[in-house]
Amino acid sequence: MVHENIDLIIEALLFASPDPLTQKKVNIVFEDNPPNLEEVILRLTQQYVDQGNAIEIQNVSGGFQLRTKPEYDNYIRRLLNKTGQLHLSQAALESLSIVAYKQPISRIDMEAIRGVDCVGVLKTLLKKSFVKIKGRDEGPGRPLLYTTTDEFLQAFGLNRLSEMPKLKEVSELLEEQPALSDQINAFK
Amino acid sequence: MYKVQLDHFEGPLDLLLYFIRRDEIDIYDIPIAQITAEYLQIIEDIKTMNLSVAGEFIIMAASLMRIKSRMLIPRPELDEEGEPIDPRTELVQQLLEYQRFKKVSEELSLKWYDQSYRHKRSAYQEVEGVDDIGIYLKKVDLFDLAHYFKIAMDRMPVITSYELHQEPVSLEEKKRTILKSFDGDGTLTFKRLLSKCKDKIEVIVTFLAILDLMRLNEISIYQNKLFDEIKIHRLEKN
Repeated sequence: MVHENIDLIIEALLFASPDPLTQKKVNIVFEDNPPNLEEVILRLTQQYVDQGNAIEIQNVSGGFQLRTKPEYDNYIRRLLNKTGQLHLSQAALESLSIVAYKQPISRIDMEAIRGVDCVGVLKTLLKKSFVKIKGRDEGPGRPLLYTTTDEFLQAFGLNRLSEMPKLKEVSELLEEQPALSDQINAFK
Repeated sequence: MYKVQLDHFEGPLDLLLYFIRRDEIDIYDIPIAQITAEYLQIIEDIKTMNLSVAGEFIIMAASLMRIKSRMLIPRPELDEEGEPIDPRTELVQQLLEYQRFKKVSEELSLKWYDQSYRHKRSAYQEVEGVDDIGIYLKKVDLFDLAHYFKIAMDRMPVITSYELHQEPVSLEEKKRTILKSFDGDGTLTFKRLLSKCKDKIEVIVTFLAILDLMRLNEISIYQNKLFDEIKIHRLEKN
């Protein structure tokens, strides 16, 4: 098969796939001699850029997915009748970051880091499918352990967990942060 | 003075980080006395406004005061290598760790908003005519099952009507039977009355009947000592 043909098939798969398209799924579709998904994606992405399409191919949750460009957000919201931005509270974001780095983690350990009760916020995160229960700890009380989900990666546009900023880098960033007075001086 | 509102903060650590930022404090050298005073002042302010303070803020107040009192001890505690232990170490570690995740959560927030402007295809048709149930069970684990079980249970209709059976023994009937059961000298034992009962409900009705007869001054009840036989006497009507 020629390149163009395979590219078109992959494009069709991207369009029809409910979840991000992975090499594994491509292998199932092309029984023998499956194409290298990443190579095809590179060509398709270039094609989309050249044509100035309204959609882009995004590398999320270990696969590839078609997404509209941000500038069409307004129109799509109106089409889907999605009024208002879904807001994630600081509590939810903090808890999610902790689960993302420390997973699998128990509620007690999350609370130790945040210094506040996490029952309610965990419920919200479970409901939104950003975290799930992975099992139980072997330790005392055998508490439930939480991990992040593929939905979490998708919702935050992450390909894999390692794309999160390294905690060490974050620490360095915080060290380098200019003092408040310096920031204020900058505006003078 | 700027009024600090507690509900603007995610918790005591967040509040402490606010002080540290505002007063440009070196996080590794926190003036505990000053911070503790400020912290307690805020808790007091909230209390005078008759608002309840979440428990975690109170716990932190206690920890701060403990650290402060330890710093006052003239002879510091020593670690295994004989180096003095700074009582603030644990708190500093906690603050640093929380600060890191707070920073990450800001980054996550940006990603979240950026991603929420990019839409994927939204409505997918259910795949019809799939015989292979495995396709649906692929990603399900035990906790998913428990989750769906709970959803199913929550969806169950709430039972609002109850069936009640009419009890075969009536209180009035039982009262009459008890009155007839007295022997010649007008006494009866509680045990004997119960031995005639066929089931639990009859025992209950018998008991109620005895209480009611006492109320009507038809009978009186005696027990010589604890766990002794309970005797029922028929009272003569005047």
